[in-house]
Amino acid sequence: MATNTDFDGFGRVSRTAGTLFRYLLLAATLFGLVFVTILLVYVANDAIQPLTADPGWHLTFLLTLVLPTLAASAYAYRRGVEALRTGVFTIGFVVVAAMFSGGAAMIFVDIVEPLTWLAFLLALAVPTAVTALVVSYDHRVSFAAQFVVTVAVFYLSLFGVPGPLGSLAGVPSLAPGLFGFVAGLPYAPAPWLMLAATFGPPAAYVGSRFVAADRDRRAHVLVGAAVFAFVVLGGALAPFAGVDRVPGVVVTAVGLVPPLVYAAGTAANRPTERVGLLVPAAVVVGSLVGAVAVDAVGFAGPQSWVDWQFLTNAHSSTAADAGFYPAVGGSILLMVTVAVLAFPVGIGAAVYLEEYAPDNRFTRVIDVNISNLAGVPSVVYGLLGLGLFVTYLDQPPGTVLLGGATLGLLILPIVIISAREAIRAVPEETRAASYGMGATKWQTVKNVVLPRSFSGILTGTILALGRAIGETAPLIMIGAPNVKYSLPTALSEAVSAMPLQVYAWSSLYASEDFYQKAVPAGVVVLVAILLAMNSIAIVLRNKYQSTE
Amino acid sequence: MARDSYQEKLDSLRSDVLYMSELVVDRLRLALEAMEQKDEEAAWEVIDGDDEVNELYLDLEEDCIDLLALQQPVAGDLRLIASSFKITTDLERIGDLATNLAEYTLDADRDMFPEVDIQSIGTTTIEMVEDAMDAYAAEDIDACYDIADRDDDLDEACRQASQTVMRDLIETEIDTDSDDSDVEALMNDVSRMLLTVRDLERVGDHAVNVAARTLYMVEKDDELIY
Amino acid sequence: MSDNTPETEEPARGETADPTNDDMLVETDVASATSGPTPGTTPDPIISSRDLDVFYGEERALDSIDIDIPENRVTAIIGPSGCGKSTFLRCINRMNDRIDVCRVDGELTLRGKNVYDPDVDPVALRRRVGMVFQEPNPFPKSIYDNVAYGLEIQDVEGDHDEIVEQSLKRAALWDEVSGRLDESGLALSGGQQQRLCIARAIAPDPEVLLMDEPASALDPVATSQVEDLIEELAEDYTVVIVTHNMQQAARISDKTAVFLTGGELVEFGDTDQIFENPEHDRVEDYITGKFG
Repeated sequence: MATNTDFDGFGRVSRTAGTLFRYLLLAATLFGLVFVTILLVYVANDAIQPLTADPGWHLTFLLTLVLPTLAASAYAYRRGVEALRTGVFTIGFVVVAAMFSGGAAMIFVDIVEPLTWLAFLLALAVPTAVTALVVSYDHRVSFAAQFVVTVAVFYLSLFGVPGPLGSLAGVPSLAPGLFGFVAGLPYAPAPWLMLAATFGPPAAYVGSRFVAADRDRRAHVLVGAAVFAFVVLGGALAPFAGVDRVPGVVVTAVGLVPPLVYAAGTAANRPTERVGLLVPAAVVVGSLVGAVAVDAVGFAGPQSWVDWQFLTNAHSSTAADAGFYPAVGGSILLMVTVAVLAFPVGIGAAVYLEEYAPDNRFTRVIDVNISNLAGVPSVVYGLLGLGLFVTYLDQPPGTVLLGGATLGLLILPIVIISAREAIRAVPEETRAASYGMGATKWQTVKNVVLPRSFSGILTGTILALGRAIGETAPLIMIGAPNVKYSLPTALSEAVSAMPLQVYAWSSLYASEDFYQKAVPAGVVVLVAILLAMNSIAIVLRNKYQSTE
Repeated sequence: MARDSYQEKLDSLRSDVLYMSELVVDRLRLALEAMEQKDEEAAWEVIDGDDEVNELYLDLEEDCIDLLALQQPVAGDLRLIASSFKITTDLERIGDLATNLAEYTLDADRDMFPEVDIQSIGTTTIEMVEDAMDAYAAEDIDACYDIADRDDDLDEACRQASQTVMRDLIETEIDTDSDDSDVEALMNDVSRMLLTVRDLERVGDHAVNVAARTLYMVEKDDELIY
Repeated sequence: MSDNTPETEEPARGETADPTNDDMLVETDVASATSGPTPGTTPDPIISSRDLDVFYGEERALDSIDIDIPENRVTAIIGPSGCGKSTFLRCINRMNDRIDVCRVDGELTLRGKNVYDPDVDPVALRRRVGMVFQEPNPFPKSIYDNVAYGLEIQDVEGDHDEIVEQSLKRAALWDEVSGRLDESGLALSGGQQQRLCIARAIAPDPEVLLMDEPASALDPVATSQVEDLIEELAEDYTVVIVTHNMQQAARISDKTAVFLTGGELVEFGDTDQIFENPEHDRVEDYITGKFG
């Protein structure tokens, strides 16, 4: 009755089942996380040995680095979560950029001659310009003609007349192509200047777009010039920091410019997030001040195994001198090769299967089998590589090309599956809208489906690459050397890789020292690189998801 | 069938219109009786009952408006509502005419012209109204045409009645020593008679209107509406 | 004209359905407030179908459709769910081709040419027939790029900026977005997105505009904006609109086609005639809500 004065409320509904379930799930989640964390902490402790440092060292960095950073973070958080997020992102950006720049520097120091690099770029740039010109005459020139001209120009520029086709036919080489010509020039500017010339302009362009975003032309030009000058200076002043000019230019362009541009852009264009920049500033300044202070006072730092020497030396039979450099370089080369081989094939296959292939029994069989292939153990892929490439095609074992091909085959199903998921995620209404407007299938795929699924594809491929970087078994099977003392300089040279090196240290050179020093150090470096790659994937995915 | 409450509302509109028509026809019949019997009480009953008719008219008007606003009627339903709207107006006018007749009865102080058969004319009009409402209820379009035809006969009868009255008037000798009041009384009788005939003819016209609206409602044919 | 399907509607081409149209007394006709050009004069048909049958696998979706849709008028197609309205619409621009199990028999002509002839390129057809869908579906591109999409893929000559502006003005969206053409199309409200889709559809200047329940996902204010727009668009385009909202069809269309269950076209005529005095009892029952 409406006027019941003995109203006890609504009563309660029991939630015990749900609560129990929830805490069980929490426990399961924590279980995995806790164990992984314990493992990583253990390994990191072994590798970096933080407890061997002087208490004074810790204290100094606490005062100069940790406390200011926390204070800055709290202040930024008070001003807005976005600001703090920007600050933390910048720190991550600095770290990842530093890693990338190290890898890139490695490539230009030991693997690729700057002159070769310049020649390659020029040999690509000229045909690209010609192609753009031809495409702009789209109406008057047939597609077939455009295609033929494009292919011809690229071929001639890269390979010359008559190039590898000619050598197959037994025709001697007549003229070297643009690539051969430039690469063979007797006189060339200093290597670091050439690198500055190739890295500078793109860095200047990106910098000007990001920092001077909405402003006038003048601002764009000024920023661009500043960035370019910075890159050149990085190379010129490198010797004063104890680094060669070539790596100096690369590190500046790849490792310093991007975070600085991001910070400058945030400061200039997004005033609400500007405050967050205090956090990375605190980290950088605090580290420098702390380093100087520790040096001045004479506190001993931790006897970390992950030090500069570890990262730049090659393997040695004494654990203390063993280094990771060739392994890191080898991994980088392998990743590049894998990307070049697997991504076009994988993404192309995904596009075909999702957009063009008819839906019949045959394609359904293919679907099922791709999923099966993704689950095949990696050792089997190693066997495949061994059997196909080494035995049947008579290739030398353990080379970069071979390793890249084998690992590429390994991640190909994963790339296909994740790319297909991304393409499938493009809603049908968007496709219908495009077809309704009278677009051909190719136009729809090019203009609507691929741009929309691009971020998903990118995320998937980066994660697949992350998987490939950690695979050991296939490399063992194809005969990659456990230890290499130098970086490979050609695709046909033998290559080692990070997981392989760690495996070697823990099995072939197993000794107390290696177990306790080299192996954890290697694991830490490997995990750090993996985390860097995955964080890029996550950032990309978040960024694109938020715009949908 | 869907829209049950809407169907019920349409049905009740129909039956309400029929109820109003019964009310009005009763009034008309009573007025004619009062005129025949010179029954003043009956006449007052008719006059007082006009309020009831008017209120009913307003209620039905409001029902139609509600249906239009709230139910979005179309096609046959829409024509039903539109026609019913107009028919109630005609019925209300018939009610007013019945009141007129009652008032004439009250004013009359001597016998009306006996040669003129008002009752016969009145009965004819009552029949026409009843038949028109039957046609409305049954959606009988043949009956509608029939009523339009009968109106011609009614008009003829009314015309003849008026002529009779006029002739009587002209033939009545007015003595020079007749009272002024006699002359006045004669004039009043004549004008009342003419008005009565005219009002009854109008009842017939309204009955035809009802038939015309019914035809429109059933066939969307506006032939009889003029 | 030889018509062996008794249910169909339209008298000889070129005449109106109701000869006394001009003399009609319209007293309490709520539904005849249709706008549009002179009622009573139906122009030549631009889209015609004869004996059009459509099957999804074994299931019949459309049954012997004979219809003549006039040019430069708004033609509404109404009917209960599953009666084939959208199927018919999608036959006009051959979007049904994208459904594998769909089979089409019979003839459907646009300006006299059967669109199902083997030598007709569906892509070329769709460049003359624009389509707007039920859910607004702008591309994840900027507003400008959305409207210019048709111009890009069809290689339309002329000043694209100009055409984009004209289209947005026609779609009654220019005032709201003129300063932010670079913003993503997805950032607009539902009603604005639908108007953007309309602008996108009319930018390449098609002859016919097909609309599949374009306002059903919108709130009343946005709906009336889109409806006003449709009435204006009929001046330049032929508009065929499928709607399950009969009052909407009554408000904005010049001619209405009533499809009933089974994919049958039961009646096709002037909108005021359909809603005031339909010829078929089944149509009357449907529009008065007695079933369906």
